[in-house]
Amino acid sequence: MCEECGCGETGHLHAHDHAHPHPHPHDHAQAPPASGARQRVIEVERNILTQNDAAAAANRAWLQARGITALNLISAPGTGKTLLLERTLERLAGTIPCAVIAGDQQTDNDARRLRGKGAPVIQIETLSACHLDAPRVGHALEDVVTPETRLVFIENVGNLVCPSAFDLGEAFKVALLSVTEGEDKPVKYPALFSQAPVAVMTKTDLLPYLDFDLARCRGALRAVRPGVFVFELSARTGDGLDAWIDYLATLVP
Amino acid sequence: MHELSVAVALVQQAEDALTPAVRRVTRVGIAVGVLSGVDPEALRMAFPAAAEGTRLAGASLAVRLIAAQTRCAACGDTTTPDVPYFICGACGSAEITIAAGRELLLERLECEEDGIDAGARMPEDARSDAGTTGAGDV
Repeated sequence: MCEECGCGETGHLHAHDHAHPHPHPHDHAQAPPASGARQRVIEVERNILTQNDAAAAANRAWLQARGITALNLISAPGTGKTLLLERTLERLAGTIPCAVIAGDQQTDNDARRLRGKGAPVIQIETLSACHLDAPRVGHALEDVVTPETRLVFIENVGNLVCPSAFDLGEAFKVALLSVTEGEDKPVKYPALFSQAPVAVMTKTDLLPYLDFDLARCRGALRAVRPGVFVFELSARTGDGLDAWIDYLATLVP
Repeated sequence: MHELSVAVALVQQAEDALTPAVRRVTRVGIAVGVLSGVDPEALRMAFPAAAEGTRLAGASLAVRLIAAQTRCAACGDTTTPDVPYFICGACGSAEITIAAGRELLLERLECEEDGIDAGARMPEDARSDAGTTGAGDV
């Protein structure tokens, strides 16, 4: 931002020792005030995402009233959220009634993978949007939750940045990263990892083929979120899955 | 680019705060926490599109960055962490909660209101971008 003239331009390198009009080439979208106009400043102090946050609060109250725990699963694309959910639903079938809201920009491929595993699944196609928002999740909850549902998995759009800004009304966020992604991911994306009390490292079956330093990744997770619960598992081989499933059972009253 | 969603929400919040007498907004003051997940530059790019056709069209966006702060459960101090490393700056404890840095606030709107000499602004209205003025005022 051009602080001197407030013109909204970025990356100015020029010094602002001149008076308006500027000799340098950037458009002032703003014309000078007309002679008949009064200047006025309105102090607002309002949360920009008020509407989303209000919808999130309504979702949270709705879920709490039904004794349902909802988890917001966030990771980069390709971390393995859907495969982990497939295995999770299979393992929880018949013990904990689950429901899934899957978000993707396009297609219902994830929902199709997740169906037939004993839990209702609904897909939200966000189209141009890179994240789920609380109003959309609220509508999906009404459609997917049954009177028996105890645990809801919200599989967010694959994206480490945008979903972290939108509260959906979940109990908490779960951040996932695969061991193919780099140990320092948590410190590179603190907006998400600092908000997630639970982290899951996926694809640990690939560790023999990688130079991935598990201890360093655990350290990065704890640096960003002290006290984070860390699960290390392979949904493909089932290694480490027991601890995850046991943990989920503790979330259900 | 969720900043477009944020920009649309920002314009909605601002419109709600405007009185009917406001002809147009010249400057929008917002505060963005460093942990809000919102990139101020991306928001700046998205804002004109969101503001088009509203009284915020053509307004500049002034962004105040809010640093992260942690509150320590061990010593009680509130300190500024060296993001992304969240430990207490006073005692080094990891028993912290984040006290600031997630904000995303609309703080102030600098506006032009209709004045007495209504005729004087006609030429200016005519050369403004389409939709900048005219909606909801007079």
